Amino acid sequence: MKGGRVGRRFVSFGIGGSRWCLPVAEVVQIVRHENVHELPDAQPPVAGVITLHGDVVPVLDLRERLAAAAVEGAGSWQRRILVVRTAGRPYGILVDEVRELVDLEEEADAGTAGALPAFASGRASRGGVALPVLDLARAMDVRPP
Amino acid sequence: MSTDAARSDFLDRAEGWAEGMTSSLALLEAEPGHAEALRQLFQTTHNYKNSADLGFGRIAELAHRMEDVLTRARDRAITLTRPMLDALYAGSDLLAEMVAAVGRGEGDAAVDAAGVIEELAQWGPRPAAGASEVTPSPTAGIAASPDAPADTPAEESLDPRARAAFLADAEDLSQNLSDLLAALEPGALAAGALNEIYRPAHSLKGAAGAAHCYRMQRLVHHMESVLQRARDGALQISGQVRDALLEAADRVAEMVAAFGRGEPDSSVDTAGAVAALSAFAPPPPVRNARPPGGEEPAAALRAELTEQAFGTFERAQVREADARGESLFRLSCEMDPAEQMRFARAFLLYSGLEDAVNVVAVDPPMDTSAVEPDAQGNVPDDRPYAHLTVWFTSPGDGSGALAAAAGAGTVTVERLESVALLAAAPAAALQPAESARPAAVERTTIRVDTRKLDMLWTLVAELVQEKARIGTLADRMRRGDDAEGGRAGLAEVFDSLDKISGGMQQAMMETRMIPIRVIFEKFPRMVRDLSRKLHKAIDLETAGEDTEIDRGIVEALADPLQHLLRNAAGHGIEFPEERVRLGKRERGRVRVAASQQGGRIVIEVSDDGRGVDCAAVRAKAVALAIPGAADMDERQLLELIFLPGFTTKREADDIAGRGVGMDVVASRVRTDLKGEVLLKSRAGAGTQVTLLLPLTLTIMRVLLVRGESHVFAVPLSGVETTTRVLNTEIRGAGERLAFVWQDAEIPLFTLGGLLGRPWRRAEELSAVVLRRGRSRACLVVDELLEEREIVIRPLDDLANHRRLFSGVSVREDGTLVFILDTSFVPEEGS
Repeated sequence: MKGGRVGRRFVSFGIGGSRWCLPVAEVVQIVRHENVHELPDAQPPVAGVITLHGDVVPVLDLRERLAAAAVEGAGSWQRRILVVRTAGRPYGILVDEVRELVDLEEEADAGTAGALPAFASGRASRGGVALPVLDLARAMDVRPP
Repeated sequence: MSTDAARSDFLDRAEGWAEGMTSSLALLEAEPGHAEALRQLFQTTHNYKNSADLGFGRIAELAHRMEDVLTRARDRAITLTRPMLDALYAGSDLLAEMVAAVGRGEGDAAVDAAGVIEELAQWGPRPAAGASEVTPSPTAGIAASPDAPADTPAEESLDPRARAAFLADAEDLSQNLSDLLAALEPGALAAGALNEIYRPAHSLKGAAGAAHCYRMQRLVHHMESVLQRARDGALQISGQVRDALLEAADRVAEMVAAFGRGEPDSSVDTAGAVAALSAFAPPPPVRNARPPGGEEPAAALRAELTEQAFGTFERAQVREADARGESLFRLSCEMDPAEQMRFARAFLLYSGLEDAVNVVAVDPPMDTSAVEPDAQGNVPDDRPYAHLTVWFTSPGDGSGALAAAAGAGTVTVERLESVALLAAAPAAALQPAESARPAAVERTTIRVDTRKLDMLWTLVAELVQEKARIGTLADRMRRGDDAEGGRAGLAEVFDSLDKISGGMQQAMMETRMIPIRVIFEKFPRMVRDLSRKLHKAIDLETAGEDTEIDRGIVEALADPLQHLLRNAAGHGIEFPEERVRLGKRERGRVRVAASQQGGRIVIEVSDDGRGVDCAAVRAKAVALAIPGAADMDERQLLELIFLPGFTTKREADDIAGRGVGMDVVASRVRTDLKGEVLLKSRAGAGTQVTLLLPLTLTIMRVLLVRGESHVFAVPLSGVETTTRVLNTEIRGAGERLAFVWQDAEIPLFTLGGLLGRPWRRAEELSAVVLRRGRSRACLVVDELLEEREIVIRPLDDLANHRRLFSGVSVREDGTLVFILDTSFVPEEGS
């Protein structure tokens, strides 16, 4: 559906001063930023792990990676961890703040709305709001070669 | 208990029965008259028979036939021959299959047991004697039967606990039986009331058999037969019938009382009661001998259809045929006694009928594999096919079938009042049909030794107690009095909670542990089959069956162990002639032994066979261009056997006499089970394969160490010892360090080095000596902490950059312990 618009509910959040969003369906849970265990052998952007219902879940700090892609205002540093599920496994994304739940329409074809920041899979918008949708797979692709 | 719950419970309990049976059979085969084996076998067949109440009629029937043969063997009416044992083994296999089928929701009729049942029947009580259990006749008293031991000492090899248990059961059952009979209204036909009575009778019969009270068993059997007929609607409960049953119940009560006094059940005269009951007992169910064309009583036909396992499919076929205006017929064929090729003849008849009419069912089933010669060229017995029954539907009078069957023997065709009966038959009478076919029963239960549960209970009680103490302390502290005492009390409570939670973790862990016996039990049978197939004489020895092992491991371990056993029997052990020529015992020996040594399970599979021909292995290795093969020592050559693709079946047979699928065994044990495989062999003297396995896959005994501001866990299975290392003892520099330990230089690692961090030397260091197979390495840590058990959780690769850890564990205080994967220790030779 090239150029089509699909209405969905999104979570908007700030990372490293930039605003992003993710479809609510991709977010498993939002937890307070507490008790991230340091790891003896991890490389950035892996910040550590949290334990969640007995699972040990890696937490990624994407600030540096996404900093270059800043689009608007600074966050308020109410840090949270957004737990997402990709490839069947849970991961935590460290965010500066979780702003709100919004109903937005996703533009499947990014080309029509001007340039997108790196690590965005598209843009979701309604009225005056337009947020880049975080491309989790690419943003998290930190596996060693 | 609901029916589903009862079924689920049955499936749960039936797990392992069949294996128990085969191992008892193996005992019995080795030592005819083995009392404990017999007792076990009777107990098991009895347990199976009780499943009839749940609607598993085929299971019960097969178990009954097996019991008949065993009873006669025990009473020395017959001597167990090889074909009999084969049939009994086959029976226990089929029972396991049927239970599995029930578990899948298919019903026990999904497994074809007719052949084995027929076979067993020929050694069961002989109808010719006129007084067997199967065909009671009013003219011959049961006590006069040659099969009935005149007096059976009640004490015969029955242990006191079993006696007490039987006595308690039998008193209840016999009382229950008398009460129900007394309350039975003459003329009653309510299936419910009859079922009520049937149940205690049936249980009592089984229990009496297990307790060696055969006279009691026989009497109750007669009662059961009468009740059965009444239940089927073939007999009215008249005043006389009820009196006969009541009299029998009185005799049973007397026999139970006698048993309690330690007297044999033969001290009670049951002849009168038996004769009275026999007057109402059903005629012998002789198949193929009903008067042709005669009116069938509804119950008899129902019984027949049940017996022939008219399942959903067959019934649907009949209903469809009825809709087409066809009728159901039964063709019976009695072959000429002189007929030599019964199966062939039966098969011709069957195929002819298939062409002429719509065949619904055939008994015995046309199973060509059943009559195929075995490896030794023995042609199985096709006698059952001398009496063939075929049910078919056809328009008109079915005479087309007669034409098709011409020349097969004495053939009769009858029209059956099919459809109305099939439709009207109460579901219970048509078991195992759709109503008796439960949905697949989900296995949501595990069996746990009650002692382990008791331990948990004790801990839970302590937990509740501690909770109360916290409440009291909280009160005191709220009131503000004795703050100091309150704090001290809290510390105490914490200590005991710590102990309790540790104990609970341990107890829960132990509920995962089951004895390795569940695998070993399969071996006697396997070795027996192998020796016969291979024409070798092999003795099996097992040891350490009680060694406990994690459920998860048991499942993954069964295959590799069976593989090793097959290898030992097939390739290790020589043929008897060869062994004699070599001056060895004629019978080969295979030994499987399990034990727990430290944090792991050690399983050894050894044989006294020919061992591995290292020269042949070397030749093969050279042929495969394996580097260094020409210079390898024996140990290195043996390790080659575990290489994938090193041997194929044919080549293994030619060269090493070993190696079939050894790579599979090795990868299963090493990769899936995190264990080790070692192989030792001496040419001409035998081979020994040792498996070293962790106790469980989710819980591991580890040594905790501290270093680089983290706590790490080293699996104890990989720890040789701990040691002190002086700075001056370390050789080498940079990343290649070494340490001399027990006169050998071994590589030295540091936690910092592994993590890619700089490492500061100190005068004296703590270290762990690690082992991997035969190689050793030294790991320097900051501090050695304690040994303990931890629960392993997976660690995502993202959080495990260098793949140094096999997992992670969360400690009680919420901090993490990283479990070192010790595969950084170089393997010997590499």
